Amino acid sequence: MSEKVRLAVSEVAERLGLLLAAGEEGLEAEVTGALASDLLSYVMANGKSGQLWLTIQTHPNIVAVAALAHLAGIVIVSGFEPEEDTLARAEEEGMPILLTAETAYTVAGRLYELGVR
Amino acid sequence: MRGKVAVDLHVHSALSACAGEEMRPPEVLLTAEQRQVRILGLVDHCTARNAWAFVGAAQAFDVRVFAGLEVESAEGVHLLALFDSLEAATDMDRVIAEHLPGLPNNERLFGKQQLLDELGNVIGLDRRLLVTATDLRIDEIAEMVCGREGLAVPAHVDRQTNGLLPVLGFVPPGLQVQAFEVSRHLSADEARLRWPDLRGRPLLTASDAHCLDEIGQVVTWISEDLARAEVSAREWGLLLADEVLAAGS
Ligand SMILES: [Zn+2]
Ligand SMILES: [Zn+2]
Repeated sequence: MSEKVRLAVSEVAERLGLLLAAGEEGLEAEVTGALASDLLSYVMANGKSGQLWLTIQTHPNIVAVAALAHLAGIVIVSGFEPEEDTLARAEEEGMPILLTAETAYTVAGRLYELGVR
Repeated sequence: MRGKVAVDLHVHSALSACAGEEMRPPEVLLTAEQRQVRILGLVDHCTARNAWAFVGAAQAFDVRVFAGLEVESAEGVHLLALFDSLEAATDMDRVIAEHLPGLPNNERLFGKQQLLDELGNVIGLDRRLLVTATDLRIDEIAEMVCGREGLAVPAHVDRQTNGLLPVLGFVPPGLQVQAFEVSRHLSADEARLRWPDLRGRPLLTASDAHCLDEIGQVVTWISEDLARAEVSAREWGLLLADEVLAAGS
């Protein structure tokens, strides 16, 4: 079965065991897809509305980039920890920041299994 | 430090979206002068459009300004491009403009990009998205700087975001840069321990100031002779590299 499912950021976070670090306000947004990249410029140019962004970047600008591209949220992978400024910025923007020790590869695979395509 | 002169080669103006609006020529130069910074590198993200105002205003202060840009390569690496001539900086600005993605800035998310005159008056806004990567490789940018007799220094090489070593993992062989800037978070020795590729290479520190108070908080110490040397930025960079290596940093 490969049918497309509708999932909110909160459901994805729960199913994948991601830890919410900031931006609770945006948790009910629908996840329409995902992308994995550590190049902010790439995400600025190619990010699409509703996507979850998997990255190891932790700098405050990731929130600006995610908001610019109307992403659903940011998953900081591989155990990287966001800077304080980043979390403050995410709160302001209502942009969920989710944390996990898993790699981008693993998280992407699990998202795919969940039906996020 | 006696007999030594402070240089801060990495200072932003209000043209950088993330920098404070107080980063205007008179305030920046006065602060630098008060903190005995004798040479200041004025760089903004991917542009040198405020450089003329700082070079002009510097005549009233005991501070020499290198006009420059902090260019982001296609790989996401930041590189300082510093020039002793405004013409060279302006020419570099023109070429870099052709390699930006052509997206608009979003002032609410990134901040304003203010164009200033020598007195610090706002004379316009740069509407382009400048806090982003060009489509040029790091080695191409370095070559462009050298070709314009400029000084090329990869910025905050240890930083996870936009730092040469976390991004690329190594120093590309043959990269035409004169020195490497290590961020304030670690010493030259720590940097070389963490990144053996930096061994034997000249390391600098600079403030990467985005607000007035940061100017001169982190500097590189050089000799009086070097501070006065009347040579191109490229040659100056080579002399600087010799000095910092001889000083063991
Ligand atoms: Zn930088
Ligand atoms: Zn900078």
